[in-house]
Amino acid sequence: MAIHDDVKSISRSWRQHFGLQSATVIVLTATFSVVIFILSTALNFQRVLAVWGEQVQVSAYLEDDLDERGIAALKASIEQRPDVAGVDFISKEKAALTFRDQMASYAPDLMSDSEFATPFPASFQIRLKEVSNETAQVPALEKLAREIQKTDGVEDVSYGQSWVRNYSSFVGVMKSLGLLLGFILLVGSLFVVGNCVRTLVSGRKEEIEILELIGATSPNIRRPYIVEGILLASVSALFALGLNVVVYGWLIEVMKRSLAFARMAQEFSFLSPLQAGLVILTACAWGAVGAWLTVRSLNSGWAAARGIRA
Amino acid sequence: MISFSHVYKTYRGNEGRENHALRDVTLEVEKGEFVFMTGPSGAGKTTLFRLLSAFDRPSSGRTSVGGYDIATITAKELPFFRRRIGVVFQDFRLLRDRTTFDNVALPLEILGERRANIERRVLECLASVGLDDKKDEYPDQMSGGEQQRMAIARALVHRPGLIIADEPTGNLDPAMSREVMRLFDRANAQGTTIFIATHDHEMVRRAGKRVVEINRGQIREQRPETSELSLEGTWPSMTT
Repeated sequence: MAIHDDVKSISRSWRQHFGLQSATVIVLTATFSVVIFILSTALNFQRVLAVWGEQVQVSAYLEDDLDERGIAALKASIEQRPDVAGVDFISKEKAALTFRDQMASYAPDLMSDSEFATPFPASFQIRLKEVSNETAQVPALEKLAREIQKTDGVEDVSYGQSWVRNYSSFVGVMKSLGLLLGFILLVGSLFVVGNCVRTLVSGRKEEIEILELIGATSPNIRRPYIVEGILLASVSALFALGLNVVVYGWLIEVMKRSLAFARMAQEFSFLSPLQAGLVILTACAWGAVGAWLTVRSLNSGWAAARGIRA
Repeated sequence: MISFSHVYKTYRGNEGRENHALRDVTLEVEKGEFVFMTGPSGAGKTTLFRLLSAFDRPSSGRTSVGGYDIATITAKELPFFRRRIGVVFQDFRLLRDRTTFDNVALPLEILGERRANIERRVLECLASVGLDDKKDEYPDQMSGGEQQRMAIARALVHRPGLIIADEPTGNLDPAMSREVMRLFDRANAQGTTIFIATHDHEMVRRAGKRVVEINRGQIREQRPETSELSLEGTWPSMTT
């Protein structure tokens, strides 16, 4: 039996069991929507972590009594390190100026305060070379900071360690929870597809018997159900992707409005077309597996004589 | 083509008592033969029919049909055996949600025939049973006799080497019965072995073919009868 017959069989099945098929598509769409949301959110958090990791710099605050020669020697020694991409010197005056500029909107009087003295020491802003993955970024930062801290002429070192580490832990926990929830939902979706196919099989018991009686092989009989499982899962995955596009569009808008300071919105995006394609392919495979698990022992050739197990 | 040797089919009752549906049945049917099996209800006709069509296995004895040993046939071989036979069931076993055309096309679809070939063969077959004008109708829209003919067309469409029919004229009036018998006879003339289980002694008597009589699970009598029905000549297409 060819694809033509599978198509006819499936269209008959949809006509006869429209309610059941629709209910299955709705449940699967909901399940896949959550899984896709988790997946794309995890990917986005990972991307944000990577971007923030790239932006993280080590600030080495210099001792007050360090002269120009000492500063130049220290800069040269830090620049020679293999993990350092570049070093910028920020003088006390420049630090004060930057501070005043940044605070201008919050404290306008500060700009005109002639008595405002610089409270900031001179510092080096040290940029790291790119690390291959973002999880290695925090340890690399910590190592660099520890070593620079020991250098003569350096008073203190700061790199926003607690923020980076907390965010990294948060992403790790989210990833684990997402994986667990995604796994549970995906296993659940197998049962949803399986149960739908099982109900279809019960409704078509006589047809299966007749097909057996006139010489259909097990693959002949099982194939339309497996194709049906694939169809249910792929249609649901398409709906779920569509739903997520809408939800993500809304979410990004909200982030742009409410979380502008965190600059997360520009890093957040929905799955790429390739990723969306992979999601649909995975859903197809999932639908096939769910249906196959149900129909693998459907008929033995003798089922028609004994009453099939459905 | 068919060879039964000391075949028993035994069912165990609720109290553990054995009930022999077939006892020591020995039967030979050569390729191209036309055989009627008759006998009263409960005589074992259906059991024999089930064994012949590999819907059941014998309890003991050797059962060979078309070169397949029904006692040992595997699940993988079973579909290929069934493709080589055509079976007409007493209750038709038609798919209610498919048209006449689709029901008759099933064996060819299963064989993987090309679409054009399927259409040509099915239309030929429907014409030969007088259902060419009903090809788009569903079984429930048709009379018992029409459904019977649809079932016969389905059994014939893939030109099997053996046709086994259980009461194929049970729902037909005498005229239609004769037409159906002509169809079987024509298939037989083309080399197909025909094995028909029937209650219709009149039809058996008129056909003048070999008769196997079964009673209480045993074959009692095998005799040819004299034909009173001319099956020669052209084959008119049937109409309802």
